[in-house]
Amino acid sequence: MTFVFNKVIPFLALGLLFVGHYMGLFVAPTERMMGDVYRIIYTHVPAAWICLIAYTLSFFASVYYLIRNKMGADTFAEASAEVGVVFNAILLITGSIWGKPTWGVWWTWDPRLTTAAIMFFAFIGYLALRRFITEPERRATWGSVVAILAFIDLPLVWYSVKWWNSLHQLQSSPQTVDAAMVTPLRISAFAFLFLYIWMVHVRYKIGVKRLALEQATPAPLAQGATP
Amino acid sequence: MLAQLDKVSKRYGRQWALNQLSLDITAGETLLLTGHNGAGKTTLLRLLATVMRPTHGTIQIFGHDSKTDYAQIRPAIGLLSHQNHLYNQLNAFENLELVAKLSGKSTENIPGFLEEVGLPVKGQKVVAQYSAGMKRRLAIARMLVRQPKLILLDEPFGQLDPGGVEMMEHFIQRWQEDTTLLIATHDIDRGKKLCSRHLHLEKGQSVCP
Amino acid sequence: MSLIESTNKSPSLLQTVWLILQKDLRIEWRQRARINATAFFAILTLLLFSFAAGPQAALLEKQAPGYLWLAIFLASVLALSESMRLENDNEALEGLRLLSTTPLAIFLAKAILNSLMLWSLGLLLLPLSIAFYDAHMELGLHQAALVLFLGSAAISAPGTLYATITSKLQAREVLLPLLLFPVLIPGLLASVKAMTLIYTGDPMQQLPSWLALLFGFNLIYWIVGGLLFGRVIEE
Repeated sequence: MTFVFNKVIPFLALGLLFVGHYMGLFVAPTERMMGDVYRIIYTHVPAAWICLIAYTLSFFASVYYLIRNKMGADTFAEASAEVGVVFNAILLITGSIWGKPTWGVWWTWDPRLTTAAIMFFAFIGYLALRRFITEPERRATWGSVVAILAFIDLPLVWYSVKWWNSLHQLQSSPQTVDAAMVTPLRISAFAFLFLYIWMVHVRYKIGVKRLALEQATPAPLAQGATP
Repeated sequence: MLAQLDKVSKRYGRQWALNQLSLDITAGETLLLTGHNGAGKTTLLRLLATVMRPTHGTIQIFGHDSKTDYAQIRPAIGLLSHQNHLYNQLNAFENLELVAKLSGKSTENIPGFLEEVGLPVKGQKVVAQYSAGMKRRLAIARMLVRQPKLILLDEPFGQLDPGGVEMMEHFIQRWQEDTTLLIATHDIDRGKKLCSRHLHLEKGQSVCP
Repeated sequence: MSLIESTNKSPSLLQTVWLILQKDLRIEWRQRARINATAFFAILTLLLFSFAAGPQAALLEKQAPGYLWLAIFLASVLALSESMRLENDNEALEGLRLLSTTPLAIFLAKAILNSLMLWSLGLLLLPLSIAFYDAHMELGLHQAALVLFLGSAAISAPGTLYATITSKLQAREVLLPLLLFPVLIPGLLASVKAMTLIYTGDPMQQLPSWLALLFGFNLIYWIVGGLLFGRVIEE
């Protein structure tokens, strides 16, 4: 298992990342409407998928923590949220870069992009809160509550921004898909998935060690003398 | 057996406040708790009050587990500590009235209780304007309203004038008739006079006094 | 055999909520200087927006509903943290826990109190925003009051939960808005949109769908808040 996590998954992640992006940049055909600009989807779209997966898993781990009080679940929830925030940042930056040539602006209040920005701040808040709580059990419980409240907001944000926006402009996104475009996208998505597993695994191990350090007994627990 | 602690440990960060403490508390006894600052006295009282949970070990109070069944235990527990649980912007009567109503007790006796602890019945002063000693007296009256079965006193003689100390002793003696008490104090002589058993804590463990 | 005899009759959930709410209203009344200061802060914010947007009357009129809600939002952080601060003085909340008060009742009382406070603030700011920004309302006052109430309740349910968490921490002043504002965005959007329709008129019958969104937001967060509050205060 250690071999899989330490060797196979990093290898798959980096290898597929290279193959997917190479195919995306050099093999996939140029898009008719947008030209070469569209090729950013090979980073942008997988980042969005993995970000959503990361937050979803963080949410379920938080729910599980509140039910079972297993510290491991909370450590995983934090690891997944932290990696999710990284992918979320990639998603926002690439989205913004893509927006400039396609829509002519760095930022647009498209429902997906707006929701991504709001989730970014919601989970930054979750991570920030955890820094200020020193007691592990309290940090886990309050963190889980915050993660749950943030996650259940996701559909509400999405629908509200969509309605809010619907009168101003109808954002069309490229749906013309060529098979030669899809293959590198799939490969990139798996690359990001393995990247996610790898990063969460490393972050989880760090979390477990930190927790062990926090909970370490300064002196061994000697048997109490009876009165 | 009123309460039973089985190898109870409590950790704050990297410090063990209590270290595998086992203790039986019999109904009706008065237990004196001594020890230096940081020996775990307050921690023990707060664990028994179920306002915090032990890191390891179990606590049974009135036959209920303190981690899961605290809702059954709490109505019968009275905790008197530096945090007096009083609302600063309410006056004495309003504070006691709230406690009585929330715990389903009658409010008729409140003026009598206030008189007993030596506070004015019709006083309109809110708690924020009270001196430390008056707050302590009101906290005692709060205990009289609640009528708990297990009373936990953390430094009961602190912040009181000589008259207040005498009154505190009087109440302890009265409570001894039908309740179980735990008294944590640095005033060992006064404590020994009042208590039937002595427990000395050192570094979170009990040692022979 | 239980050693605890239960001779006394515990109050019902509604009675408990009412007792705590009554207590809080009394305390808030005695600290009304603080409420006044919060209200003046909100009014000042309204004024500041008009300075930021320049003196064009047409622009201000168009933005009036948005500014009104932003003023309520900014003031809500102060009101929410204050309502939990008084429970932390002398560890009063711990006292409530020791009386075996159901956490749900504490949550409901606190969240209802905050809703009422923010609602009153909104009702105060509404005419002022109309005066400052030279706006006028096409729809009735009762619809405006309903939107203000639903919006205030939407802030209060997650707000009470977050204020309880942050009130015990050192960085509470910055953490409360950081946690609260992202979550509140659907509520804010719906409130602003609904208010805009009330100001400008609603020929396409959009108001009901925004009210439905606000109502749904409230429903979700009041239920989840009630479920999770116990875990928060017992930790």
